[in-house]
Amino acid sequence: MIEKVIGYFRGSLRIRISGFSPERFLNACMHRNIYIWNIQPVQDFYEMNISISDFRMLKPILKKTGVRAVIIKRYGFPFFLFQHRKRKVLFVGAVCAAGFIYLMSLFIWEIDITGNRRYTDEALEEFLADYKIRPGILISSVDCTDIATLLRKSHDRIIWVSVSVDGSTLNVRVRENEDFGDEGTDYAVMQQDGNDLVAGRSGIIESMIVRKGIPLVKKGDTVEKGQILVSGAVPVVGDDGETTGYQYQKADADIRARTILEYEDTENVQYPEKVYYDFQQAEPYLQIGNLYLSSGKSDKISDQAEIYTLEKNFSFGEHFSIPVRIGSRIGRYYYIEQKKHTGKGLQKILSMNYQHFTETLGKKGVEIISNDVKIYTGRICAKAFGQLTVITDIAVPQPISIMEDNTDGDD
Amino acid sequence: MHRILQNYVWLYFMKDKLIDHVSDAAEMPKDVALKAPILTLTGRTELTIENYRGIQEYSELLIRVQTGSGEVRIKGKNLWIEYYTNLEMLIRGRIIAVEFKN
Repeated sequence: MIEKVIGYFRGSLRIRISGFSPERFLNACMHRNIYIWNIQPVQDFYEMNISISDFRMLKPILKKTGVRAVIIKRYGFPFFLFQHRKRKVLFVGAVCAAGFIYLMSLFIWEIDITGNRRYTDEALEEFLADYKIRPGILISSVDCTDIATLLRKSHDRIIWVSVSVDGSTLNVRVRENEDFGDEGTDYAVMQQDGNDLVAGRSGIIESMIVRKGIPLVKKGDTVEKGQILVSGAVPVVGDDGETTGYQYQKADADIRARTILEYEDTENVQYPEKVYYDFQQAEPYLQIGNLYLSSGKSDKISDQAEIYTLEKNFSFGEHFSIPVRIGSRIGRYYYIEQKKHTGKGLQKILSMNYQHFTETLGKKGVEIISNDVKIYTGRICAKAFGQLTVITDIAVPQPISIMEDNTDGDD
Repeated sequence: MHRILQNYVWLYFMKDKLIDHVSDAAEMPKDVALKAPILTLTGRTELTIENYRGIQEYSELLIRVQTGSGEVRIKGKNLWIEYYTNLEMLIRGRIIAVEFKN
């Protein structure tokens, strides 16, 4: 295959040999290392292929053997160029296009962020832009390791980052910490010395697994919110059995307790609903890099409209995108109409909310023992409230309480 | 004189056999020692020849190749030469017979 390509670029000829002793000609070519191929006898002649450079060396052989050579066909790139010698602009254009594509491939034109949930694409892109990582930068100036470290250090909830360059796309894959922690508990960094575990809520201890620290309660005990459950201060006992000091460490334990959760949810009978008009306003636009060209109609879209953007980004293949986008911003107008829920509708909404709440608890490992949540409907609103008896983790870390030292000073 | 003449005549007729024995003893390859051509026939459509001197005659029905140990005749139909170099040549076509002639 490669030989054929090289042969094409070198060029070759098909010649016809006629004369007294064409076999002498063939032997002479063979002895002088002139490569000839596809030799076929045609009536009184021989036809064969020969390269352009070897054809130039035939003159003395033709003279010596008394043979005449006629070119009957020409193959290859040199003849193609000659044939299109008046179309120089076409070739210059093709070379320039190839050069342009190569130049474009040296830059990042798209940042693709995946795996993010709490942090939006726009927020992360804005953060990276503050550190001059944006579409239009040179690929050689991108340090994937530095970007990954930067994202991890500046975003608490991001626990894993992978940054790579594919073509002209910067791929950023993140994984966030799925621990919700939104019950108002404080997970601030503890003192270097250690921490205690206190009860985040009141309840009755159902199970305790202590890995570090001194447990101060046991299974079956009733604890109050804020009560120390496991102490991080481990007493150091001297030879005489007296406590001489304390070693502080981070208490670590799984403590589950039976506790009461309050649940309340309200839904108004009257609610606003958007009613859309039949017409909509569209504004097509073209964006090349940072240059934005549009008809400017979207400036006139009023507040009572939703704006949708449909955008297409041009790319060669999957990873080589170029900074050209076309799209359309569409404004859908609406007006607000006050509607009323029916009694059954309110019940359905409140039930769905409650179901979602219990599913969320289940994902956090909370076990629901019983509940007495009821739905009450009135003229203005409907409420669902009650109590759930659950078994859940209640241990919350807290800065350690420094114990008094019993060691005597030097006299 | 008669005896010397006898020796020359014997050498002339026994030359090939002698070279054959000597090359066997010295473990020399036959194509070098006897200047023998190497023919590789693939089916009846492809024939590669190595170690030759040149083409004596070439047509669609007959190709005569001169080698160091005689002439090789390839008879067939629609014979043509794929390539022809100083090391080897490839003949294609419908080969009917391959003959050796001294």
